Amino acid sequence: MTQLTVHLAYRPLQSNRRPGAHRDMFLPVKALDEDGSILTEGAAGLGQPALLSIPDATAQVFVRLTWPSGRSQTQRISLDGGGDAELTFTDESLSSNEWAAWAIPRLNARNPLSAARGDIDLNLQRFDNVWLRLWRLHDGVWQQAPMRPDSTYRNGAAWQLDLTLEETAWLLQLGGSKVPWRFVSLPGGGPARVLFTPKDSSDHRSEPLEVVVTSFRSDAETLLEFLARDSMRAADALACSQSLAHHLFAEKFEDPISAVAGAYYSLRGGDWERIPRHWYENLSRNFRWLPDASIVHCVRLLREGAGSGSSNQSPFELLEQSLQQGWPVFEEGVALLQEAAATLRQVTRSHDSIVFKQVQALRTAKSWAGAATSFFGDKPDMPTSMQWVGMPNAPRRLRLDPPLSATIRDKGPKDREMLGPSNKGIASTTDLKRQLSKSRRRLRPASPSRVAGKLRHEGLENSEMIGSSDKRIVSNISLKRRLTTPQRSFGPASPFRVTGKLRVEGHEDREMISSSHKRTVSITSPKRQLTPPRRSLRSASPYRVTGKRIERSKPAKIRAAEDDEFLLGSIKR
Amino acid sequence: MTLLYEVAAVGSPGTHLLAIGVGYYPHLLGGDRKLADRPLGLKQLTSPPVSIQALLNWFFAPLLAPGTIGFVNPNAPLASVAALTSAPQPVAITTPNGVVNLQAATRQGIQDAFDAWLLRLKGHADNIGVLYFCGHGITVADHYLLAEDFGHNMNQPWVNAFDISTTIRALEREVPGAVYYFIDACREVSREMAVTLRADPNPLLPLDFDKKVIRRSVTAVFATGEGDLAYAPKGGKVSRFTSALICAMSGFCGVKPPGGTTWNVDGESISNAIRQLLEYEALETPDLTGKGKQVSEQLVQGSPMPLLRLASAPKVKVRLDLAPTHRRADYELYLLSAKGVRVAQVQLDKVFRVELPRGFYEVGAQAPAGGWPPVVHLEEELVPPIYPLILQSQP
Repeated sequence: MTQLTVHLAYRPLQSNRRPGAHRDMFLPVKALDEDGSILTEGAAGLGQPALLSIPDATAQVFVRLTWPSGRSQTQRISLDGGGDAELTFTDESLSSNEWAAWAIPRLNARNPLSAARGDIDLNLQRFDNVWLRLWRLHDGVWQQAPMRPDSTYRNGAAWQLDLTLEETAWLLQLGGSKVPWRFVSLPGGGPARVLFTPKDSSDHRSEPLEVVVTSFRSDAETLLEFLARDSMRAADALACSQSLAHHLFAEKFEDPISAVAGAYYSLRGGDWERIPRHWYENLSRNFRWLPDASIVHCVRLLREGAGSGSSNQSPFELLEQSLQQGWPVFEEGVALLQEAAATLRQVTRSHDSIVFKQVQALRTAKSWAGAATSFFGDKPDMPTSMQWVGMPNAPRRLRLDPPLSATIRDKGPKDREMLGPSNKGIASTTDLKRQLSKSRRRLRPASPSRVAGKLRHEGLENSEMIGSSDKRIVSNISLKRRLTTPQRSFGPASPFRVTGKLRVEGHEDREMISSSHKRTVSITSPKRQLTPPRRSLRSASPYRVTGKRIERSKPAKIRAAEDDEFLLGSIKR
Repeated sequence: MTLLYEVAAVGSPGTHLLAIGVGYYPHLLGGDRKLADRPLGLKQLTSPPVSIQALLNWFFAPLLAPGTIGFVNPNAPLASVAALTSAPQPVAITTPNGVVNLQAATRQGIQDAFDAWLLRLKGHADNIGVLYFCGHGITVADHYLLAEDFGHNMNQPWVNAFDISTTIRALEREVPGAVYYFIDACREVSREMAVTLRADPNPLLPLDFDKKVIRRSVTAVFATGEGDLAYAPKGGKVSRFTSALICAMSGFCGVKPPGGTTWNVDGESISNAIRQLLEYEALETPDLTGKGKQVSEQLVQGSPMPLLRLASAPKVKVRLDLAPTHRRADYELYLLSAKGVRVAQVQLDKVFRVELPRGFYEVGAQAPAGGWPPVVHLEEELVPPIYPLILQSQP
């Protein structure tokens, strides 16, 4: 065998190491022949080269290094001369982006930041009014926290914030006139860095602004970035090299966040049984503030099956515990929440449990921020597939619930059929579009009408009634009047939803607007803040299901401080 | 008939396919029976019977005509094929045992076929299962798929649907080998349906929580992302997703691992290839860009157990263009493999499309008449299934 040593000279990335961390960033490398057959593979770190053993008869190899983004670098090396060989990967785009270099391996290969130029100008001014809010979970209640970055950066292609976060769940909320409101989970318990850059994908599902998060755990985060993209071979190459996943998990007391990365890998792959169960128990017991710790333990127990386990802990309690501590820091945790909820729902047969509904809501509201959990919504405890844009005090709907959208899309290109609900039979698209525009205009921001008794499905006819019946909805005049009042800023709080067949639910307008007001900005009393976490979890959703009727439950426990938005435009070069 | 093909291979692993295609829904819009109380806007589909035919033909092809492209896995050869389909007219399939008319995909028919498939699948620890569904689907709490007789029972409309999400979870505790799911159905989310219709169909297999997860590999590829729609061309054509699936399996994905002798198609390879082929279709069909674009989604867990093991290197659909386009006719666009094989398109004002074996190439453009500088990309790896590149002619 010929020994091939592969060095990684990405020096700008060395600054992305967490103080006290033993490892730097590793990236998977493969040696391939001219057909693309894999000869051998491994992982190269900033300080530790990959040592690849190449079969003796090989005359030349192509060494490919892969970033989480999918971008790769390839070098050809001739082995004709016999003896060992070595090569080094460098990247000019990293060195030309000092403070943003850490994010480049996670961004799409086409992202302008990946270009080796320092003079990029992406016209960031168009996002200057994008606002940010920081939320933290305190005693089971989401509270808005002041955004006081330790430092900020800006160039022609990106903004960046450095924060220091205590040990609890954190969410960063962003929104703007063309940026849907969404939340991105931030890892607590130390420094965190967030980079924003205009989108780099033509995927219609991608958001106008990419958000990339680091807590300076290069090794764990790289592994999670590969998992988030289902790049299992790359993740395997990383995890097997240096037994990375095992080591991350083993050092749980020093760094629980890296430990959950190791746990996630082990649960995704096939070796979850090889990790002792008490590692999971220690993680969830000692780091209750970390939602991911409870969910990995929960799924570990569920996979063992009730017949083989002797654990004192109930998977359902662990699922509840996880949700009481906020949302998972990492997107991989959302998939495990789904797995746990799907399994436990069948076992408990309690489909109406608020726990399962929370997981379902999160699943349907998911957005993309790489390995970090991200979801759409206007409140941190209420993920929703409905999308809002605008400033916090002037929200408007961007996207309706999918079934109604489907009805509109169905009138699109006529050369295809949809393998699912089209609702064409309910209303003509022309009428529906008209209705939609009326609905939006008339019902914004918070004008629910009441449907007494059980929920009603309403098609076009009913929708027309929505606009014309003073009894069921406020008149345009009265709505205009209300729009002039401060309450208009609480639109998203409305329980009004438009679905496949237009549906209106809730209380009288006056009551609802008042209720929305309370729910959004009322300062929760100290007594309420001390409510036990479980109780706060149950009241987290404003809806509770009783039979066929959805009712408003107690106002969600959210403390918001108005006028505490942080504008991206305030970050100067 | 449901079981179209079976090989008695005692003691050795095999691949077991269960394919379901539902296009005829008599109780939904456009059906010829009593309309369901709440048809949910769902209507008849023309694509599923055609799509399942195409898939079955692909699986049987090497058995019917050796050497043709189709299912190949020497480690787990095709051991059984069961299929059901619902269409206004009977659907006939040519199998190694002759022409067979497929049985209707009613809920009971699907359950019976599934139970028999599961029994065969559990027959060996290294067996591979494939479950394919094409028809109506809805995501409520989980992903629900609708059988032909959906809506037949007014009081229990969901009794003739099934919960594929829970079925996948339940099978993890029953099947030790690998299972691949290809679900060609919409995944629109409607909590309204969940609440008002009490949507709670049974899975095909109840989840036995007493058992532990024993599967080695699970791959579920969904035609579209959660909350999105799956599409098929109108007029009884193969759906976009099934087209991409068949194309991916026909030599447009695969990895040869270290020390391996075959190109293996596992969950990561095939799901990645399907997603890229759907993107490629959108690239080649401008009408499909934007909201109509279909992006598949996948669940890949466990250690890889290849579905296919191919003898030859996979192919790549190359789409080579040059910008600015008015210079295309001045250039020769070429690809030169590391083995020295060169293909080129000489001075034609169009995109250069060609299918080439995967591997390393020099990709470039040169102007034979001079006047424009050459454009060269060295050490480009052509990775299946697609390689789109626009060469930039400077200045």
